[in-house]
Amino acid sequence: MSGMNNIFMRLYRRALTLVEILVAVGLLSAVMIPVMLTFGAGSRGLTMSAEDLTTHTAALELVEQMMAAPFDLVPTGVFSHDRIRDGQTMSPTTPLQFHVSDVPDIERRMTVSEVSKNGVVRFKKIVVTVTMAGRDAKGSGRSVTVKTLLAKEN
Amino acid sequence: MTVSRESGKRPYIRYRGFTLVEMLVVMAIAALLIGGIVQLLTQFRRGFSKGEETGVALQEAGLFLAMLRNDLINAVPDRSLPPERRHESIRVTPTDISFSVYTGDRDRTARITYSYQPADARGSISRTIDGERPRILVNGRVASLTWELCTEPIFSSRPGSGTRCLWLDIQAHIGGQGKAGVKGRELLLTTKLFPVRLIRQLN
Repeated sequence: MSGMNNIFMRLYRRALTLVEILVAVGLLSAVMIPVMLTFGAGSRGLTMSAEDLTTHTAALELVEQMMAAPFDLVPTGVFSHDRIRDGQTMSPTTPLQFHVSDVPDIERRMTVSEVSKNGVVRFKKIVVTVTMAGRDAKGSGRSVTVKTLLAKEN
Repeated sequence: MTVSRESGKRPYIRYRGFTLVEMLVVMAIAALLIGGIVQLLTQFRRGFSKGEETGVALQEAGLFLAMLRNDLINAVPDRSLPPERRHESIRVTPTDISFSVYTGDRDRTARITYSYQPADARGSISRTIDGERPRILVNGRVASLTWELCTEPIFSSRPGSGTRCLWLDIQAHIGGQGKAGVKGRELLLTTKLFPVRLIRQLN
């Protein structure tokens, strides 16, 4: 009789319970979700790299044209995005015009301040910030700030 | 599978085969699962290739811009030109930019040429220094490229008037054409580069 029981025990197959299935699915999800997320992270990284290149390029464009301008003609003040337009005069006190490329989805801001020593203006400090607006209304908000000092050579 | 026992005999196991319906259901479910997995993997592979193309295009575009910017910042006047024509030290044609730079490692000026070899959405950009072997910066990924040298006189009653501003206006579409059948994200490069040293020396 005991032999019969052994055979029945060996042949008996109990179905999986709901808890076992849930645990198995949970474990599988825990393994697979990070794997899936790595693909999305790679795509996001590329987008961020492209945005970084765009913002860096736009910031350097503005900084370099200020560095190339004659020291005395570089105006001081805070320049908002609306004032930094291609072909627009930088300020009423200078004939310099902004020369900036039409790059979509970015906002430029610039601050130029004088750095004096013994009452004489030696440098002009230029701070340019370029912020990347996102494709959606939220915006990625990534920004790049480039700072430099323009020296008075004469 | 069932277990039978007849009197006086050992119990035996009788195997029952799967019915056609069971087989069809199992095969349908397996086909669905395998199809889904194959499609998922194909999408991953395509996305990876596209991402790889985009990454390489980004890298090459960044390298090209960085090298051209650095070279232009160090551009110097062409001494072979008369002083009144030295603002023409940067020569620009639709396919070439050529100018002299001061190189600290060689302790002399060298002639730099950037060349654009247009092709049907697979153009290339290379850089040559002093006629040496060209170095390809963007390889078969330029969809379009225009560069133009702009100049503007600055008039003012204040110091610095009568000077001249120069800049190189660049517009390029780069990306996505490296491998056949794989098109990455296209990148629009639009910027103005200012030859700072040259402008200061000219003025």
